Amino acid sequence: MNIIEFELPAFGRMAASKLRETPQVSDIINSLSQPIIALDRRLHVTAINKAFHEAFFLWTGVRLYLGMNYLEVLPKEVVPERLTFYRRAFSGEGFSLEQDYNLAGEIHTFLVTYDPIYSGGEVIGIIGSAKDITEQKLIEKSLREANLKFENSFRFNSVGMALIEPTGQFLKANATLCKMLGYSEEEMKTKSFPMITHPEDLEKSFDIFQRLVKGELEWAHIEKRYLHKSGKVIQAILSSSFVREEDGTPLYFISVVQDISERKRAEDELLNSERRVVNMMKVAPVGIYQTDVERDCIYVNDRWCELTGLSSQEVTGNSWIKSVYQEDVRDVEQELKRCQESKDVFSLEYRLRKSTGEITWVHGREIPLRDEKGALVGYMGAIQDISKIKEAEKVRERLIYILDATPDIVGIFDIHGKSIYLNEAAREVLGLDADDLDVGQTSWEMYPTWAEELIRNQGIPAASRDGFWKGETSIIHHDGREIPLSQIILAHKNKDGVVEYFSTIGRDMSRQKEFMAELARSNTELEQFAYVASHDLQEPLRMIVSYLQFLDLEYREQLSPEADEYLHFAVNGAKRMSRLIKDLLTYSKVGRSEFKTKSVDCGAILDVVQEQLRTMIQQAEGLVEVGPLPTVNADESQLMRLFQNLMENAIKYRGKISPKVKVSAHQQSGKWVFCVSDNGRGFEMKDVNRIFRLFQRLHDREEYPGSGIGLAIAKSIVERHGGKIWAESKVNEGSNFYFTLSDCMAAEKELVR
Amino acid sequence: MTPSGRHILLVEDNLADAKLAMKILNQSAEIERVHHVTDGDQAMNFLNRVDAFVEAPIPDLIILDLNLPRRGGREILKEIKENPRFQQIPVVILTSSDSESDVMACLRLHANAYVTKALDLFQFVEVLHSLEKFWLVSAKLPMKSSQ
Repeated sequence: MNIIEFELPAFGRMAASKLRETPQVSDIINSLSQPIIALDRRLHVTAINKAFHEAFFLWTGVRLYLGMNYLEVLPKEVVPERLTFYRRAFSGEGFSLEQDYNLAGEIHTFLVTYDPIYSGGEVIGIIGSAKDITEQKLIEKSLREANLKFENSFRFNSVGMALIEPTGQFLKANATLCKMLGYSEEEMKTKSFPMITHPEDLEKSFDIFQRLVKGELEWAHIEKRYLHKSGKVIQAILSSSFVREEDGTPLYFISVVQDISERKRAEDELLNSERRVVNMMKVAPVGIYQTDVERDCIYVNDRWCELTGLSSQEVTGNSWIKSVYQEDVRDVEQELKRCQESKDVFSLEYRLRKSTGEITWVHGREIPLRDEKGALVGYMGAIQDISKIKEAEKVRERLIYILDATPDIVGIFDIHGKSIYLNEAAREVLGLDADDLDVGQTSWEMYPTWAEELIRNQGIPAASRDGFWKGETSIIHHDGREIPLSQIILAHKNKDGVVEYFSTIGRDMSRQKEFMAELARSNTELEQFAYVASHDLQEPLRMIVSYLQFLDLEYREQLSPEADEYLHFAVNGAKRMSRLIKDLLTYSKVGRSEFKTKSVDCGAILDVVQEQLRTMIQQAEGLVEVGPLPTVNADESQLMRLFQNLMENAIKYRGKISPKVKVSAHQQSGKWVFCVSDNGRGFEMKDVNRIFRLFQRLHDREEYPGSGIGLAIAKSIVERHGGKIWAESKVNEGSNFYFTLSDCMAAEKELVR
Repeated sequence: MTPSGRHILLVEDNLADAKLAMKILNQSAEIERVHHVTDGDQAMNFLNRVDAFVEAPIPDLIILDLNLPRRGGREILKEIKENPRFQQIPVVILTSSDSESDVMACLRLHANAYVTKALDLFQFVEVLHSLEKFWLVSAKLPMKSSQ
């Protein structure tokens, strides 16, 4: 503010009186609301207005009058400072400054102006005026604060904010927006909004822009995509408004930008997860249902419908218990009740029954559903088809029942030798109760040391390798007895060939061992009998024969021809008895003699047999034809005797024509069938069973000598080899004698070779 | 050929058999005498000329039954064949046993022949005669001359 010039004549010492005398001037001054004071060079008050008077009184409590020495009435503490002001003013400088005054307890800020008063080019006094700017100051302060607030809110807002010129150029962008889009504030100022808008959203953005400028819209909210500096797409919500001056002059856009990329992602995620759940429900191999608090279904998945045979419509609003098989409803309801009370999770195996009558075993589980406050809102449950497991369980139970019934010892062990299962017989031997079954003790304790070593060193390795081992072991009965076993060990492997567990079957051989011993004893006795038969019975026969013959030789002349004939019959009878004894001995030897099987070439055997019977064949003018014969597993000497007996018979019982014998073999259902056929006199088929019996003869002894033991021996040999012998014949046409040998696995290969 | 008196020692416990054998053998002109003993001890005494056999001749052939009481035929055979004084005397085993093990055991003990007693008298006669022919006529001659 500039100096107020008072062009007053003789202003100075006379000024005050003059002011009073010139009422127009003093009235003007007094009417001013601004306090005004004038001081002369001695700092005496030369002029003062009402406003100053009042204000000074409020400040100091002193009333000012014209002519008073101003320094004397000023509060002492301000005097030094005021003196510097006055000196400045007297030096000819006018100036203003703000000063606070305590006016009766109220702080007022004044803009105080000091001006020199000139007269004739000389400073004759100073004039001071003050303007109360307290209110103005307050307004300024609050304005400043408001500005700061806006600035802060703009700068530090968690949403992006920008001021955009009507041209679209960025005027200002806050840190959040800069960070959101990857630019510095300076860089942002070089951008216009189309440059950072996703191309696909440009049109939409322009439209909004236009409408805001035109005033069609006051505010706009749109979802749009921005482009991050890196090219990344930023999903955002833009709120924009166009700011104008009061007179309508366009200023700028205020835009608030909120990054919703995360929210979008979360939304997508949620959508995906919902889709996932829907798909899971579709694909899940379990039936799933959800009910309300009353246990009425509000949702079931496809699998549930499949398992129960009910449609979603049929069950919605109804209890799922209607799908349960009548007999199991009570169990289900009881278990549901129990779980509700005990807060256990419902878990039960029960049956479903479809309207078609089909029964399905399921395992059902159900949990209560609660809201965030913990209040029950319903139930969710799942059912799994366990029919196959149930069926397997049933089969298992049946098998266990059988295993428990067998007198053989059956056990299943893990690879460490711990028992997983022992059947009744095994438990009995070991003195275990059924409850002790899964004691999981190592199985080795039940074996004597030697058997344990045998199983460890041979049984387990062989079973692991071949899947199977058989051997003679023993087990210790709980009463301390050692029980001899014929034991089989099986290795059970998974599909990779790794042994998962072993099982074993053991047969108590105590009785068999006794039988074997008994058999050995009886065989020895039989041997002794055979010796007795061959020697001790032969001796007396020889005496009878020899002395009868002596009698005949030395006393023939003294005997009648009739007596001679008697002697002849007696000798023949004794000889036949001797023959019978010998044949009987031979027959008994077939079943008793050591039976050693090995690979035997039947062709070679036939060569030997033909050689042995050469004389007989030649005498009969016979023809022997031998087809290709296999190599079989048999006792060589017995096989030789078998062919010999059959061929001998074929030649012996020849017809009127010269005998033809044919030996052949063919395969039939894994066995070799041998055939010795002839063109001899044959026999009637009604007698077919008699011919294999001991001492049975179809023909006259005189015509065909022999004791009738050949075929009985043949039968015995074949049966000892596990085969069968039979014959086909037609009288006067010939006979076919067939026999099979069971063990001929090796034979097939041999014949091929 | 003079009946210079072949002596045969027959070791046979069965009297009927012994008599039969002696009856047949005695028909031979080669044989002066068949000496019959009924067990192994007597046979050894005969060979060793002790007790009642002080005057006994050294036999030209021993016919030995396997089935003897007390010491069996095989034991006697072994004793004879292990004794340097007797081992050159041919020993023919005459037995009713045709078991292969018996035959093999006797041959292992150096029996000179093994003959099964035939059921038929005429066969028996034939066997004995062939024995006599082989061991007393053909085989014995060089041995006799060497003595």
